[in-house]
Amino acid sequence: MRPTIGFAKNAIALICVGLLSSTAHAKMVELADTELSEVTGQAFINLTTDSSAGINYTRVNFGMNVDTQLNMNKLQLGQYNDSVTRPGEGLGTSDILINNFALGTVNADDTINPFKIANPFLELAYSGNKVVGVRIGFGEAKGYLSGDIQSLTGNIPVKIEGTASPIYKAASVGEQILLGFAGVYPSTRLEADATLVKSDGTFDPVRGTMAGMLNGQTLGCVSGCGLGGISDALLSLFASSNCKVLSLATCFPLSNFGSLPVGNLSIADNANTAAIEGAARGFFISMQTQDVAWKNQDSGEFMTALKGAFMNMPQYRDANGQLVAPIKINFEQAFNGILRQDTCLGTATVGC
Amino acid sequence: MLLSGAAQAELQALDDQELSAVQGAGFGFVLDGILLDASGATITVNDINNASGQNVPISVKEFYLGATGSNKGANLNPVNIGRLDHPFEITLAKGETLRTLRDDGQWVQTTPSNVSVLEFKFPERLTGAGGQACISGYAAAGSNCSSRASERVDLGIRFDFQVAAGRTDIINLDFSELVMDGSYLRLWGDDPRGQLVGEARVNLFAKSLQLMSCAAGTANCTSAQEQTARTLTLSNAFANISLGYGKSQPLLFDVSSNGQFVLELPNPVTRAANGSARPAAERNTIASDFYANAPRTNIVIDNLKAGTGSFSTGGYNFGYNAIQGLSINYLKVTSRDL
Amino acid sequence: MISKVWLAISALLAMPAFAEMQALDDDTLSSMNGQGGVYLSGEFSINKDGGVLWSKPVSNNPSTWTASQRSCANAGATTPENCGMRVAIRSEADGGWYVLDNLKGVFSFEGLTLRTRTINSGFNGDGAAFNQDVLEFGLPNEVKFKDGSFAFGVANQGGWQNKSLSVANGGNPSYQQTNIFSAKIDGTIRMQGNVLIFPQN
Repeated sequence: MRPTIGFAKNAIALICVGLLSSTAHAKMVELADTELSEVTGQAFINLTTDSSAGINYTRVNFGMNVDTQLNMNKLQLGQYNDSVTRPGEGLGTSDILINNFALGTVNADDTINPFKIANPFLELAYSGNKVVGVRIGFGEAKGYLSGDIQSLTGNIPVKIEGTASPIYKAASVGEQILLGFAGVYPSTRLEADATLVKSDGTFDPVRGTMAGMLNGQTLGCVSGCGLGGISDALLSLFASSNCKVLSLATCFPLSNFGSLPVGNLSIADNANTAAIEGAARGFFISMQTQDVAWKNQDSGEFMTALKGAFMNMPQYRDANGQLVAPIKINFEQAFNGILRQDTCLGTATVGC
Repeated sequence: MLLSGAAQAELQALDDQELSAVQGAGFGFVLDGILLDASGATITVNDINNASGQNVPISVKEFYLGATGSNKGANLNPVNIGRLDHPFEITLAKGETLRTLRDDGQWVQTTPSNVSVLEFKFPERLTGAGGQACISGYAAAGSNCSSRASERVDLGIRFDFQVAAGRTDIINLDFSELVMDGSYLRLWGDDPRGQLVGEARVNLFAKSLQLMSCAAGTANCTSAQEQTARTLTLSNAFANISLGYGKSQPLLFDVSSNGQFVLELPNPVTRAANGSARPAAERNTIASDFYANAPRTNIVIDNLKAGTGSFSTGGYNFGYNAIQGLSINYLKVTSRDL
Repeated sequence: MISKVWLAISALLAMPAFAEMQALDDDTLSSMNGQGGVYLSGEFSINKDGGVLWSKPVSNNPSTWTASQRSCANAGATTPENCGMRVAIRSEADGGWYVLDNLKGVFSFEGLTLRTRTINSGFNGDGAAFNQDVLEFGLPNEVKFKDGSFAFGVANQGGWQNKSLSVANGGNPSYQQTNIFSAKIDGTIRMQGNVLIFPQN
């Protein structure tokens, strides 16, 4: 209540002012927007809607931070044979099949490195009043994802980056000389983009069993190339073709990778913030009756998930604004696979 | 003479089958000839806000519960739920007398000894000759249920989400031949932690679950063909959800000092409840017991079909989907305001 | 003639007076089944017009309330609403509270019956083996709710405090309540059937 000076002129008002003086001194202060939002919504669930190209989306967001370490014998989504939607796929195969799937790892003293998830959500896509897709997503995810991956359907870009010495080890003498001419030495840092491929190097996002370089993709120079920019140009002569660069294999069975690091595990998490530092963003698993475009919360762009069951682990922008792949491995791991980490308490390490 | 007579009587350990019949004090109840029809009531759930902080009301309609064969609630008949020899129960029992059915058909103790446990349970499962197939005609769901065909229910509920002006999302759920045998909630006080802890299992077995995304009789939702095109059908679906293993990993549900809730399944091996560390040999023993006896979570949908199930007519057949043998070594879920 | 009729009538009337009442022995008594029972109808109203703790404020904006006011209308609603009953429980020392908040409304039912019953047959063959007495609650045919509501949540204090007022004005900015589930019920729920209750050991 504003102190109203007018009343003071009236005798009765004097008494009123005396009685009301304590409240009259309380000023109205406009609430800032952050305070207002605390006043109205006090819940950990909210619901948002979206619309794009004739599809309506309804998303339920959960304000939750989840730390977990779990094992499951089998994660299987979409086991069906259909010559229309899955032509050419083997009988009995699944869109997603991972045996001994685990999130997080266990140390030798049985302490746990949990897989961290923030802001999970559930979203439905409607075409009119028909549900055409559903997805479960994690706003942020970070940690080890382990398993014997039998087949994957989805978008899973992998960045291979590291020193060229594993390449030198695997190369023949003639190839080593060629690499030397290109200014690439064992200490040179190279990079390559990998994705789900068939054994002939073509893109295979449906029930893929291998990850590797697409036909035409080249190794790039990160640092330590003897000839600078010319190294890059020379390297581009060695494009991957039919899953090979020279005689080096560039595609590897997914089952070689026992544990995949999701996000940047070298960045420690700050317990004081709700956000997970170094997390990969935009992870989701979806099922749709047709190709559906889902919105990436981070970038605001829509990306298309193929019909059937689909797992999306997209590239995301890190703290410096750089677009990075969610899984980063080095050439040693690419060639020789990644040993599965211990995901069980006690004496067992897998299959518990 | 009397005293010597008593001294000669041997105490014999009860075997596990007999022990499972010794429950403690409590009462059982059976629902006889039940029928519930809430189509004349309006129930509104008001917890969800939209991005601008306004309430998104969820109307709950067409709730019904009756005997199977009701044709999605059109012909409701009364049903018995629970059997006189396997009723719902509320009991207070000692932890060492309670048992849980393991996936391989053995009854194991999961609650700690020397505590009094308050248990609320659905009709218990039944091993041996009297066991019924939990889903008729589908052996993978197990044959240890006690409820027969006459004790299975049809249940339906419809949620209308008024998500935006002029837009209402509808989810119409219809369960057919639903049974929840073997579900329970157990609570007891944990001294070292100084709080109420528990363990829970939720078993859901359904011959079919249909999700229709429109309200019957409205635009685009009148003919059988239109309704089928907008229906997701889960056939032979079951979920055994296990939360907590009382002996080493009780379920903790806390409210933190800043008014948020925390749901936790602690690491069963590293530290005793009073905080002291454990040596490796003890940790290995606890881990082996945990992996052998703690119930696991399974969610299986034998067939998931959208619409007609054929892509050429706008449907899709997602086939078989399963999460099997899920065991959680550690879980901590913390809520926060959005 | 009349006197004979009168004699006959009086003789008939006199007959019952000669029948003695005799105590039934226990065996006979235990074989008798009572026809007694209870038939209940009732109406409960909880905080239909608000309770004693808080009076209804003029607006739904918490920053305008005084120390003894509270509105339990939804977030973003324009008109304020009376608040219902509140129960808070704490399950661990120094922990937060589970809260059943805004419990109010009128709840009425008709035809809740209560009686004992012996079951030794039926139930698809289970009754014969069971052979016990049970307490039978007959569910009312209809349960009516009017403006019923409740909310379940968690909070860091047992009593509700106004987060938008400073401590000096009777509030507490550090109060936090997270609602997990809340519902409003209006209308009639039709039901039939019995709940049979019996001891287990």
